[in-house]
Amino acid sequence: MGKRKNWRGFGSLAVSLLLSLALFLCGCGGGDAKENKGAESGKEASGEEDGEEYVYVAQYLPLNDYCEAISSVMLGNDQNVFFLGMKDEKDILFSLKIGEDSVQEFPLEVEEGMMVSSMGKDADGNLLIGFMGYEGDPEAGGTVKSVMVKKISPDGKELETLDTGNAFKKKDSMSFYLSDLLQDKEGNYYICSGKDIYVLNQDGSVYCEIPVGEYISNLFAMRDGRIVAAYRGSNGYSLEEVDLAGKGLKALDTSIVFEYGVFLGGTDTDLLYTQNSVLYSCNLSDEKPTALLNWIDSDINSNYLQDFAVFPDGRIVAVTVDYSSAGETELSVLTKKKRSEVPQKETLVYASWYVPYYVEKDIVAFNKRSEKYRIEVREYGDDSTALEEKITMMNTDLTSAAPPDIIDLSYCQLSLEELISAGIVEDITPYLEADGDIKREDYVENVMRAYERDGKLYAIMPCYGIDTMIGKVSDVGTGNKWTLDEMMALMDSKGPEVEILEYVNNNYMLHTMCTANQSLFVDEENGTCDFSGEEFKKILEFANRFPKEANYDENGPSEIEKLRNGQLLLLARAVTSVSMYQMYEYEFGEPVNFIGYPTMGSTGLILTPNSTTVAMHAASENKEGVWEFIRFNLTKDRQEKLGTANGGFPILKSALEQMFENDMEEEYYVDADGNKQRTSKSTWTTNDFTVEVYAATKEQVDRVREMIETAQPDLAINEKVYEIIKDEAQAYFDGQKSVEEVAGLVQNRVQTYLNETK
Amino acid sequence: MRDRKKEPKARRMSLQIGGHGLAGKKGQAQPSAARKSGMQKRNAKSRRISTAFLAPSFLGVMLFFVVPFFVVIYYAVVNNPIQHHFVFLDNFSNVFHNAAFRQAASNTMKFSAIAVPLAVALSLGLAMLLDSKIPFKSQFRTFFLTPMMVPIASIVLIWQVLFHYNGMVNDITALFGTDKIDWLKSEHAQVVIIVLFLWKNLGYNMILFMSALGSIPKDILEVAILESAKPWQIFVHIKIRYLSSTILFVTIMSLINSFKVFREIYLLTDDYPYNTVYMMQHFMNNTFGNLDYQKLSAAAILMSLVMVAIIGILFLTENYFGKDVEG
Repeated sequence: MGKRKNWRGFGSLAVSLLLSLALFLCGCGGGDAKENKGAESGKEASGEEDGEEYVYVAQYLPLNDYCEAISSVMLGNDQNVFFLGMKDEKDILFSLKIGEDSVQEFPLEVEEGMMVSSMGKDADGNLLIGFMGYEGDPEAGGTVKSVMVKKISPDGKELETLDTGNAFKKKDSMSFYLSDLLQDKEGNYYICSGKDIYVLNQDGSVYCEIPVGEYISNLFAMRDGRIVAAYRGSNGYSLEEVDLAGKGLKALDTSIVFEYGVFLGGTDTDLLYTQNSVLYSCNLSDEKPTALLNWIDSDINSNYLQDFAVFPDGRIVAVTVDYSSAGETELSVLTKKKRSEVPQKETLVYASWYVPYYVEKDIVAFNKRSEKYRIEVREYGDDSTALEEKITMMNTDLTSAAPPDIIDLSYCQLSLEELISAGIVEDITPYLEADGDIKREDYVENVMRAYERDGKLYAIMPCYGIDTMIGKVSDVGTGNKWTLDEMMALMDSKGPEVEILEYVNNNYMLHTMCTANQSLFVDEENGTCDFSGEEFKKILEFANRFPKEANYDENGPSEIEKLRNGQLLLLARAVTSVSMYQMYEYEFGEPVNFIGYPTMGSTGLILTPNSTTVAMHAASENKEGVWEFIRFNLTKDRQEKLGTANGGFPILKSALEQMFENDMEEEYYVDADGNKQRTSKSTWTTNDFTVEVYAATKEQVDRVREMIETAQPDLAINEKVYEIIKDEAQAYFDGQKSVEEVAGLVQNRVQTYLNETK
Repeated sequence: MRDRKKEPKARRMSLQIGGHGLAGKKGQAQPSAARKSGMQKRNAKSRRISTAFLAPSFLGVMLFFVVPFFVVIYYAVVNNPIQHHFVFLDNFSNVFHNAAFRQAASNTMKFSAIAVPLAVALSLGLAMLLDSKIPFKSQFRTFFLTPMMVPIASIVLIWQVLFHYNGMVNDITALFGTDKIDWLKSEHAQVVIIVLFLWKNLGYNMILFMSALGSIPKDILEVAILESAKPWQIFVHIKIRYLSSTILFVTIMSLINSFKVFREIYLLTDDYPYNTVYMMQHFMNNTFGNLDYQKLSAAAILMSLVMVAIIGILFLTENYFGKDVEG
């Protein structure tokens, strides 16, 4: 009896403990999921007050509906937005009261030979409009003739005009431009031009010039009126105020660490800024800033932000310009609402340890378009998190109970093979085959195959570039591939003063050569490797011809000079448009061949993803939604837009051909005499040269098409294999070990790795 | 006359409990129903208190040992952590046929088979030496204990300075005209690791043996001397028998430490070292990093089975040699 009682006691103890354990574990799971959500940058867009979750809901208003082309836009102090545009071929300043449909128009008097260049504000909220006049072509070797600033009240009255006289006359039109325009409480004007800040007296004379030495991303007035420059210096990104007495910049007294972003003076706080898609507000005395929202959650692309403000009633207003399109300008008004009042969509989670600008663009576009699904971003870690830690967080999350739905393959440390082996990624072939609109045969086949393994398709790159080596036909011939021996022969045929590639070191060459020829050494499918052959030794010897550290000669000839006078033989670049192809032809100064990387077998042209390339998580509960996102970027409409602005070549054949047609189409303008003149389609400007690119020839387009069709997938070398090779090769580069010893050690260690993966 | 009602509660309790025990022993009349009910209540309360105190530990053991153990078993019989398809023993079969696993198991076994007996024998020898009448005993003891105080990063640094391709050992051998040896990336690599293991562990083992030697009854040793027993006879027939439980403990600890030598090897040679020093922990660590949980789990179960078998054999051996001593 007594024994039975004891057992019953033990049993109840065990049951209660197991129950509490189960509850605890349930709690763990819940907590984990919450924590994951908390780690999302998007989470900061919503908040919780009195137990109720709030979100910012956006209303969008396209400003292009009011005029033909918008050159500048900014928010006024009276809950209105000002924008400069053309209407009936006249420059008009528009003022739109936010919340009202009516817009006021104020025609601008633009003097002959002057162009509207920039727009800014003074301390009282009056508008400053900068005008510039040029001598010669402003886009090719012209100089500045004059700079004027007009101050206009919010109701359109011209208050004063500042004529800078000869202050900026003869400045190079390519390096002098008005990026920011301000006036402080004392009436001093501030002009920001690239790397320099000019402070002007009220009579237009220059009070001082402050050369910063780095590009200034923002010049703005803080709440207290201090003028602050934001730029990336040698010690990282920093905010420094203009010190008029010292005629220089001085650091702001704050413990907050800033990164690249868009900065403004706040209305309730010192600063309002956007950094990594999140809108922050802070006072300089704060220990850390307050996150107000994540723009992505409100379907706003933070990369397109021109201006934003927080209104006293809590609304947040933003103006965006889509540079990848024809400059579509949009006003967004964000109102805080209870989440329960907002129509709910099914959530898809996109995971990455870094969110590139094109992903943000695609997610925002998809969220705006889709009525059923909404993508939330789960970005691992923040600015203070080490990369390794971010990768570990992501890898752990991929196998967790609440994994993401969408995996960004460009920012996933695990290779596609490892993801397949772990059962993490889903074959999207059934979704592709079941889709009524997306037909495989409509897409460039070899690009479609880039993420195909064993007949299963795991991802599709909507947009891509071709990674290649470029050389003069007189040096590399006209073939479409070459070998390492041929490249070494070219190197040997030139003197020691001739560089084969600019600023490359032995590790770069080792990596490049091993990547291009990895299939010769490593057979991952069968788990074998052979580094004992002559090919690998040849690569080591070739890489050893390059210095350990690339020497950058600041005073040496430019890249274009070296290419044209034969001091430099090759460039290793990614080509993402026909105009880029044309630009390289110009740079070499004679016929060139995009020959690819030297290989010991197939072509050396490599496909590189240049857009959102994602895989579907096998455990996703919303696979249809993930496919919706993948197919969204493959649709005709998106494909025709993706290829613009050197964003890469579209995978849709018709969009690619459309792009080629556009590239070959001549553009004209009518000159003052009424004659039709041929004009350039785009302008390429580098530190060394500027080139106008005209319509491409059929031969140029055919060559680009051939490159695309023959390029092989970007089979990046397995990083673990390369780490071993690099580790062992150092002893050879240092002259410590023979090439045979190094090859033997690489063979030993890589074989261990391959054995493990079988 | 005492009023029982006014007696302190504690006193009453002790009397009642004493009375109950006595009555039970003598087989006299059982306590009354009221007393019995009171006792039950007190026992229940006592159990609840015990439960409350035990719960955190029990929960901890469940959470951090028992549940993960079952999770590992679960992962070992599914195809991957995402699809969870039951594959029974396929993962074990894969692991058995995996060349890297076989290499790691062979290296680990070889290492343990050499390093553990050496660690036990040398530390016992040192303990015997320090137990005898030699000068500078205290200094020697400190000398052998020093490696225990050195942080692992420093140990690795010292070993790198010594055994790197451009290290001190090669500098010294070069004086005799010998070619350089890449100690950590050659067939000699395991020798270097064994030396490192012994250097790090001898001191601790030695202290354990010295303590055990000190606890052997002096009278038995004196009787043996009086009976003209030779030193080796005293060692084999008395000391070893008394030391048997310590030998078992030191052996198990050394065995466990031999599996943990991965840490030093990893810091010296990274995650894919020369194949002679590729250990089981490398295999497990790397498969974890590659999210190959099923392979990792199968290997962990196999390894734990081997460990259980080895420790079982050690216990049986200890029982055999030490049974007459512990009586």
